[in-house]
Formats: sequence, C-alpha cells, structure tokens
Amino acid sequence: MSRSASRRQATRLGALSIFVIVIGLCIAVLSVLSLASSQASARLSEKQAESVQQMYDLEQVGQTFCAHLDSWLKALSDSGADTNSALRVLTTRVSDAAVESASFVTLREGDEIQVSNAEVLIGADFSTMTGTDAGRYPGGAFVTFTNQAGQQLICTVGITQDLGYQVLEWKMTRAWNEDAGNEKLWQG
Amino acid sequence: MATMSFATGTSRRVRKKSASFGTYLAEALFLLVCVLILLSVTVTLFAFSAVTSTESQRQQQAVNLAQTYAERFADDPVGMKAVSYEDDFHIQCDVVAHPQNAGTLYRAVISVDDQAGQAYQLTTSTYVSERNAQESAS
Repeated sequence: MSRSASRRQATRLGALSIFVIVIGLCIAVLSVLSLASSQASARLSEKQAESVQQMYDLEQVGQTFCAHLDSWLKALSDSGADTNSALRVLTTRVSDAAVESASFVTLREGDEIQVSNAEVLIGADFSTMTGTDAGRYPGGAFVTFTNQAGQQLICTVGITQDLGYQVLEWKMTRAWNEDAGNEKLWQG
Repeated sequence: MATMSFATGTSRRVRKKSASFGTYLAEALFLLVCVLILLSVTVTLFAFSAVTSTESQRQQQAVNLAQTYAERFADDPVGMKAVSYEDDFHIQCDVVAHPQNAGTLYRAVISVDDQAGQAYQLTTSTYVSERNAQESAS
C-alpha cells in the first residue's frame, strides 16, 4: 500500500514536470516565431525603404532628361530651326541626353542606372507607335532607364510643332527576371 | 522484540518519506531553475522582437510619409512647406531650384524624423518647363 502510494506521488510530480515542460516549449516556440516574424518585418521595411529611394532615383533621372530635352528644344527653337530639322538633330543627341541625365543624379554606392532604347521617331513611325495625332506631335523620343534592382522607367515624350514637349508615357515598372531564384514569392 | 520491530518499521517509513520528499524537492527546484532560465530567455526574445517590430513599423510609416510628400512636391514644387508635422513625425523638405535654359529643375530632400532621430530620407526631383507652365496658367 505504502509502495503504491509513493509511486503515485512520484507520478504526480512527473505529470507536473511534463506539463511545465510542455508549457515551456510552447513559450519557447512562440518566442522564436515572434522573433522570426519581427525580423522578416524589419527586412521587408528595409527593402521597401531601399526600393522607394531607387524608384525616386529613376524619377530624378527622368526629370533631368526632360530638362535636357527642353533646353535643347528651346535652343533649336531660338536658332530658328524648323520642326523636322530639329527632330533630326535630336535623333543624334537623345542617347547622349539620356546618358548625361543618368550620370547627373547622385546615386548610392553600388547603384547604377543604365539607358536603353533611347531613340527619336519622326512622323508616321511615332504616331503609329504611340497612337497619337501626327499633326500634333510630328515626332517624339523614347527612353528606358533601368537600375541595378531591375526597376525601369519607360518614358515617351512627344515633341510638338512649336518645339515644345509633352510627356505621353511615364511608366515605372520592373523588368521580369526569370533566372532570379531569390525572387520567388511562394514555393508550394 | 515486538516493540523493536515496530520502531524499525516506523523509522524505515520515516526515512523513505524523507527520501521521497528530498527527491520531490530536488526535482521541483530543478524544474523551477529550468523554468526561470527559459522565462528569462523567452522574455528577452519577446522584448527584442517587440523592439524590432516597432522599429520596422516606424520605418514603414516614415517611408509612406516621405512618399506622400514626394508626390506633393511633384505636384507643386514651389508651394512645398519647409517643415510639417504629421502624427509623431517631423517632416522637413529642403527644396533647391536649379535654373535651366528652358525651365527650372527642382530638387527636394525630404527628411522624416521622430523623437528617436531620422527615420527616413528621400531625394527627388521635378522639372517645370517655363513654356508648359505658361500654357497651363493661360
């Protein structure tokens, strides 16, 4: 009788121990989950902060490109050049303007903005491509700026008869990189 | 003889009881120490994750505010207030005008600060063509 009683007493303590251990494990798992979640949240906000600055870097480059383009158009207009000859001059200069704009902006270390598809189209080529009225825009410039993170600014500027300019497209997007394995959002 | 055997049985029982109590006490103390260690570690982890979460939330809020002010600046670069207050944040917008041949290129540095210091800084630009500004004014 006394043996079974002492056994019962030991079992009671063991059950209590197991209960405390289970509770302790639950708290430990919860704390680790909470830590992992907060770390992920911190990484996400870091990425968001970085991505926003990169986006506004592209915005700066695009605005600088518009400034260069407008300056050249004004200079050509002041020199009395007609629209067609001005557009031909711009055809040779647009790429330089884009590269110059990309280098004008102070970027963070390791970041770089590349220029692609910088070209000027004249007449029907431009109006067909953009779906605009050739009478209003006898030509226009296309340029794409891409940063290291793959963000792109696609910019289309229509040049008016009086050698002014109008922004027709200002699209901030991201180039799809099929090979980037670290960009997987979900892997089921 | 009977008295002696009774006494021996009683002392054995007492010894057994005290040994069992000793084991119980040792086990309970060990458990208590384990629980205390576990609690100290988990409380530290919880506190650390709470601080990290608050910090990231603060940064997200600051980024959103900076973006809002950057869009306001893009809409009206000249009419930007130098200092604004929103929630617990202090937003400073330093605008510098760079005159160009045919317009002005405005550059803004938007700083979002709170009591802990600078939460985020955003640099942006916007170009205002003289001709386009005149056309929209007329």
